[in-house]
Amino acid sequence: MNYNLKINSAEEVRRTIDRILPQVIKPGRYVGGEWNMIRKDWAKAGVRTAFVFPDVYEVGMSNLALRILYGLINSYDDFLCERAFSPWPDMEEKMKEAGLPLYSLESFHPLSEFDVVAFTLQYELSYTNILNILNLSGIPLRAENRISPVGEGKEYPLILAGGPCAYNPEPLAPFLDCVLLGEGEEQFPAILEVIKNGKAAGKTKNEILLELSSLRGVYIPQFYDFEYYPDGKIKQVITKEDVPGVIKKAVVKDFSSAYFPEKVIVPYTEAVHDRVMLEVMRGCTRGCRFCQAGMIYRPLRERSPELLLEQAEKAIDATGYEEISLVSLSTSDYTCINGVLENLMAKMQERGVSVSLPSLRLDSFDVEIAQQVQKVRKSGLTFAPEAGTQRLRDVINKGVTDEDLFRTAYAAFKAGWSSIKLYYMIGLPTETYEDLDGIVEQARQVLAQAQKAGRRGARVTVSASSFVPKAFTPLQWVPQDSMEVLQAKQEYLKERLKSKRIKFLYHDVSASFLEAVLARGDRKTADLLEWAVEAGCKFDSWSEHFNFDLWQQGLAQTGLDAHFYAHRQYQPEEILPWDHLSPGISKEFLLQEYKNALQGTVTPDCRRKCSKCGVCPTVTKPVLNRHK
Amino acid sequence: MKIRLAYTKKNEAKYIAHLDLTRVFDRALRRAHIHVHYSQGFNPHPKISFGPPLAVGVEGEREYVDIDVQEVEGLSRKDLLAKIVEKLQAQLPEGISITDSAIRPEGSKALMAVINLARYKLIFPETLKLEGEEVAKACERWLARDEVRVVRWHKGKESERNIRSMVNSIEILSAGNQGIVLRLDIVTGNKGSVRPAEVLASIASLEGLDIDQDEMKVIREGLYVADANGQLNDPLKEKS
Repeated sequence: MNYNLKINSAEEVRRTIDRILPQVIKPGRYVGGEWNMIRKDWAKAGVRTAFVFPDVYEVGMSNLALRILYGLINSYDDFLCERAFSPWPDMEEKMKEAGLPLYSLESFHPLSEFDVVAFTLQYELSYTNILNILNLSGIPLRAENRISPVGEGKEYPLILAGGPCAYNPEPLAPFLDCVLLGEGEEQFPAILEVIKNGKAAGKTKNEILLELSSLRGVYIPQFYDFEYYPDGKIKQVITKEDVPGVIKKAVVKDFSSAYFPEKVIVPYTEAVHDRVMLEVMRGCTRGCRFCQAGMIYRPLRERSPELLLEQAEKAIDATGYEEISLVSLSTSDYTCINGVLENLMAKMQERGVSVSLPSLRLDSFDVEIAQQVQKVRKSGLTFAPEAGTQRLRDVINKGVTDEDLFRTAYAAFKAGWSSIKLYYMIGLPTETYEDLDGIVEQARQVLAQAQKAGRRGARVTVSASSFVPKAFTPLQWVPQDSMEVLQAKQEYLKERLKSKRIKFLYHDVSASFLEAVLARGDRKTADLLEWAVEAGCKFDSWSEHFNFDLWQQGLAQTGLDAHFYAHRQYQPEEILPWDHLSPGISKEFLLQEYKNALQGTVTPDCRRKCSKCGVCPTVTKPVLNRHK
Repeated sequence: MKIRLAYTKKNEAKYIAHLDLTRVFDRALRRAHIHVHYSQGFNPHPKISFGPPLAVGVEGEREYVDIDVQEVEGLSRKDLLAKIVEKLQAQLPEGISITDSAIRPEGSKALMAVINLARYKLIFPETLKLEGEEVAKACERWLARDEVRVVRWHKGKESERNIRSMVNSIEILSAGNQGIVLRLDIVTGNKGSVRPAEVLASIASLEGLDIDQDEMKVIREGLYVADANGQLNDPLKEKS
């Protein structure tokens, strides 16, 4: 669905937005010009890439991948990289009125003027925004409609995608030209190099895509076809060209020397994560069975403390940020965490810079660390026991005990914190109401610790999200609970967590259901996405915009059986929609872990004992610091 | 040492919201390695304070900020100020230019406490096809009113106020082929203010003037400390 784009040059865009912006909320999101923004010479660039985060500016600007890849691509003389985000619906409306296409924040060029439009796939509920952005740019949704004969008519940009959801890109496959699996630090520039040379040599889109398919981690959806059984399961994947049968993820050769963005863009409008993000390590050794990130980012690679201190200093000099966050999937597991924190805080204090940790685990949580990092702010601590009973925590391999939780809660209350947030998942495989009772009991026990520690007026927030099975996790075969069952479980908890001291938060079950459909969807689900976008679905991860009625209409119209994807037990022997892709871990390992889950057998942290997942050393070697 | 700076807020910088300005200056100061004083308490924040807020999208030609900076041993206050201005300017966003600076006496009052008048320039492009005389008459009629009560919704609450008493004067600076330029002197400060757009909307509806405000450009020329005689003083030189 294209609306009438009347404006097609950067100059016109610039003129038009000055008139529109006074009428929209937070106009600062649509003009760029932030500190450290890179504005390169458009005419001289060999390849022009628009990096698009399919959500609002404040969310997108918090993303580490954007920060890394933006700085990295622009560090090449021949490459230019600019940014674009989803306009908030008020802005979208004004754009449509004015016939204004979506444009980049650096040079105000319409997205259709770029050679490459690259989307980062961070969550399934952003998929409609991706298609909406193509619509707003006047770019045809389906790849097959973007081919124009050489020398005739409009040449459209190549549409790229990467990020965690790229491990099952099938719901988006018909819309994408090229998908990058794994880490982009080396492979993204390699892709751009091929495109640059192809463009210079006047190659066709098909020729360029074929050449790209030989790069590690590159998946070209249109070269693969699916054949299905009458029951809808996949019969086989057919390769249409000489392309790899299984695409293995790309990994940076040396994480320590990998590009780190020091001069990150500092937004004027506050971003969700508005601080320096120091990536202390990549990967996680815990092996929680529901966690996709824990599987796809393997193996664990730590950066050295010396390097981190150097990067921190440079980043503060370049940005002036007042906060540094040590980010990773589980930062308190970083080998030298105490030393790094101490040194960092000693260095940063006089510059008025604070240090924070985004995620804390119970068993390695040290109240002293928390006290150090949150010297003054006693506002809140977050823990994720994920399940209410030891039995169920063993099923998901979350190696945390009640004692861990209560001991830590006591220490935290004693140290001055007055509120603790507990994260759980409901609808996990084998869950019973006893496990839900366990959640209630834990919340009460944590409050009891507050009393024991003499902390009056303490509060506990219990947040329960609904389990969504994800590709490449040991629980990928598991059906999601029906919406009715999930709702009943939410009601059950709500009833039992009624207390002035306890706040209970939960998510809309229909959004989790849709997330499951897209997370485990095959190529057939693309029709639903297309229908939904044309019907006006967007910002599905924002409860105020999520319109499940419309999605249900879409299901009826397209005849897609959503339960087939969300509520069906996938069989170990069936071909999964993502079997032709690989993050390095073997299917045997995932199956073994699935069996272990059902038996409640715990698999140790792979720092202690290798669980033979298939990643090390074939994909790359793990890197660990020595204790100092 | 408390310093007061006058600066512009133009081009893309006009879209920086007032609430974001403290962060913008704090980060620029940190990049410039200028140490500021922080407030005590639970959540220390840098001692940076501004004059009356400038609406998003409106350019400012002379805005003000007070910053409480740490003194540097072996450097006179005057030299320190000069160095701060130079280092800070290099770290400020395009559109924000420091145009003037002064050291403030100990115990001097905050900008918000002393500034009581804002001077705006309103520019109507010739495309609006407004007649200078027509506009002048409409403004005259509006100014002749004893009061103009306007209902305003703020945070779900309704309040009525007299916006006529907040407008000191409206002057036509030029009216010709280039369009029409108006100057508005508006009362401002801790007791609140009125936006030029609100005044224009009121004139348009009460005096029957057809104005497309989307085409209008608003600039805040300056902020002043007006004394009892109507004398306008520059906040940078003002004594209190």
